Amino acid sequence: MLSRLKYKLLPAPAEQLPTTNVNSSTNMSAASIVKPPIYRIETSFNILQTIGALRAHKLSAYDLQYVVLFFIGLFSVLVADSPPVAVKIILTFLLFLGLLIPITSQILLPALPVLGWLILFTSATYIPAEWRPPIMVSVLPTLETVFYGANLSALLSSRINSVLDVLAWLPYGVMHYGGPVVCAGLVFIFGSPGTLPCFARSFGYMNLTGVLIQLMFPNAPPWYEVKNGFSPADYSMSGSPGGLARIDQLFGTDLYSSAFGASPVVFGAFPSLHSGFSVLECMFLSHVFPRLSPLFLFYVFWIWWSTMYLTHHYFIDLIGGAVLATTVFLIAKWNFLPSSQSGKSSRWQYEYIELTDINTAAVRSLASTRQKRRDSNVRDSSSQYQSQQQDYDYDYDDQDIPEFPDEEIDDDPLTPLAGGGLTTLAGAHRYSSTERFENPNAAAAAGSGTRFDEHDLGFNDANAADYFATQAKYQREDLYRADFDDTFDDEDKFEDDLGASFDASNDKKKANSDKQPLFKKGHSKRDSEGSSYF
Amino acid sequence: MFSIVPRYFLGFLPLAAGAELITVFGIVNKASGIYGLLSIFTGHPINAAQWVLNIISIILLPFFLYALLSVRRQNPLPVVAYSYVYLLDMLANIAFTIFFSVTWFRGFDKVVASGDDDANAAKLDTASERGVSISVIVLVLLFRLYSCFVLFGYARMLVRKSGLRFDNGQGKSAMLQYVLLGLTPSFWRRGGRRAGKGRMVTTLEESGF
Repeated sequence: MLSRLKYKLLPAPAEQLPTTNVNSSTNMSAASIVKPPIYRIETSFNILQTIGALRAHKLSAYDLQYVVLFFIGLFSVLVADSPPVAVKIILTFLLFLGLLIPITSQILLPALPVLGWLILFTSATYIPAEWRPPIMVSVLPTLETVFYGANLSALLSSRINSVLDVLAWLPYGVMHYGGPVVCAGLVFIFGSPGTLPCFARSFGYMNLTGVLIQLMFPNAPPWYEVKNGFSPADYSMSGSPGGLARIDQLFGTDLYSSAFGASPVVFGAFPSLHSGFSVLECMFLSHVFPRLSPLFLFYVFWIWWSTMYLTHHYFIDLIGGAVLATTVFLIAKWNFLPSSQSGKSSRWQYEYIELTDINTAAVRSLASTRQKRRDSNVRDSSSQYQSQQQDYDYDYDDQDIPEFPDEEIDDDPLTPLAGGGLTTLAGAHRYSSTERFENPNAAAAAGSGTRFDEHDLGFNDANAADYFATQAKYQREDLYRADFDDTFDDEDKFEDDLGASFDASNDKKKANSDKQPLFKKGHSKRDSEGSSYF
Repeated sequence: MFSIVPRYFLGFLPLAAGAELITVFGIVNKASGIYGLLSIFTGHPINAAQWVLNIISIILLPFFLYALLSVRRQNPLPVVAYSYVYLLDMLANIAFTIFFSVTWFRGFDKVVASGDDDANAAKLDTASERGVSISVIVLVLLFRLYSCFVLFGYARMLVRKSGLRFDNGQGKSAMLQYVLLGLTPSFWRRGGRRAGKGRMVTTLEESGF
């Protein structure tokens, strides 16, 4: 769904011919391309649509994730004794049916890693003890003391009172479970389209990795050390609620004692998924609401304290969970996560999606200052060019890095005209202003994916007609059915014949946008550099 | 040419990515200081070395947060300063780790033995657990060492990209730049130690040909 949403920003698919809409009442030329908005939600029940998309799907390395998920699911289903075989078969059938119906598959497909994690976690209790590695009892306290000087969990749980119990129970026993749902809702509404599927996949893979580590490197939690000291542990032992037993006493319930007593992964202290949940939520929410990040950080610190206070985790487990969550988030951010755009507060305001480029420096500025900078650069955009030209490839040789941007750009007489909004986004500077003016078709092709300003681009009725004629010609001749991936494989080549191949590749992209694979290697790089979103 | 300073993090990720990841790991680790100092309230005794470690962590926490911003914004000088601080911090951490592991493993067998009073009870396999612990400790220390190289490589790349030398600083940061880059100018200079060794020749006459 992520990539489906992402490619909505590209020009309309070949089947949908763009239509010109000339507004005669204002006597202004306005050409708009009819395309579904990127925030659109799939409402179709037509299974044939999914089958058609599958047939058009080109296999890529990213599809290996489904193979891995399939085997994890198969293992879990086969190893689990509890639901009868008939129920297992019905549930599997329902899952595949849900994946085929477009309206449910848009939810189920990104949720597959989460489902895989849940199935593996719940069936972990059925894994025979002789298949499992020996349980480590003293490794975590050793590591904690060696790295941080003291056993922080023992340190924090040495003084207990009921006020602290409640303070620890709130994040650990309540907010932790609602957290992912609340985060998903917020990210869906206020984030850019495509953020929620990205969060779902990150969340699922983080938890899946966490549970796999817990199963392969089993460790006893602090409550075990408190109860049994450093005596050997075995898999027949049941879990313990730790400090949450005091909450059960306080409220007169049996909720946590029974739940943690029947926990499927008893010796899964490392890594802490309580920490992983909170850190991942913190990072995604900070991505959407940068100003509120201290609040989310505070939540992370709070839940860390509560896990140690309730003797469920050592500090080293929390670090493990945080490291896992950070790695997953940064991989998602650099490859798949659409960045938030300043001045937009909900998903329905997004007209296009940008991806983060690792090699570009992060610029944090408010919408107003950005606008101001844009205005001031209308007269002198050469400085802006300079700042953007600093974006060199990292694979440089010591000898041949240019110290300053090319001189020609400064001498370009048309640069001041093309300044303003056109050159502000990364990727836009790939188009030299001369090209843009001399070749309105190409400029329109580059800009039509999103929003284009016909005045800036020199786009008018005459060349609009020209543009659409070219498009129709391309469609007739089926010119851009060719595979364009090879164009971008060689980065140097991409840099060199940018002028020549770029226009053509944009047109080809347009044709391929209706049959993009779900994941394709290197697409983030290509999107952030290759297409101009203005 | 082979260089000990990496050009890619783990061989395939850009150094910017590696530096960001390493900085976040550092921030998370420095948070331990806050929890360690909470012992003031819980009354759990901690010794002098733990006090020092916790205080260092708390002092470095805001610096690491600032360093994360600098790493993301690719500001050369703060990143250079950060990589020096990271190096010193790593050395201090190695010293602390050695100290704490020696004290821990001295008392470890006694702690295990005192745990079970019952002679018939199964004994913990201390040898294998100790082996696992020690190998994890060594791996973590090696990763920290590697992180240090990555940070210096990243800082050097930023310095070279923005054309900074120890003697061309301007304004407030000129002194800082002189100190940071003047320590080992040949490391930061483009072309490394070999740069500037040859004589620049533009015409045949000049070359004495």
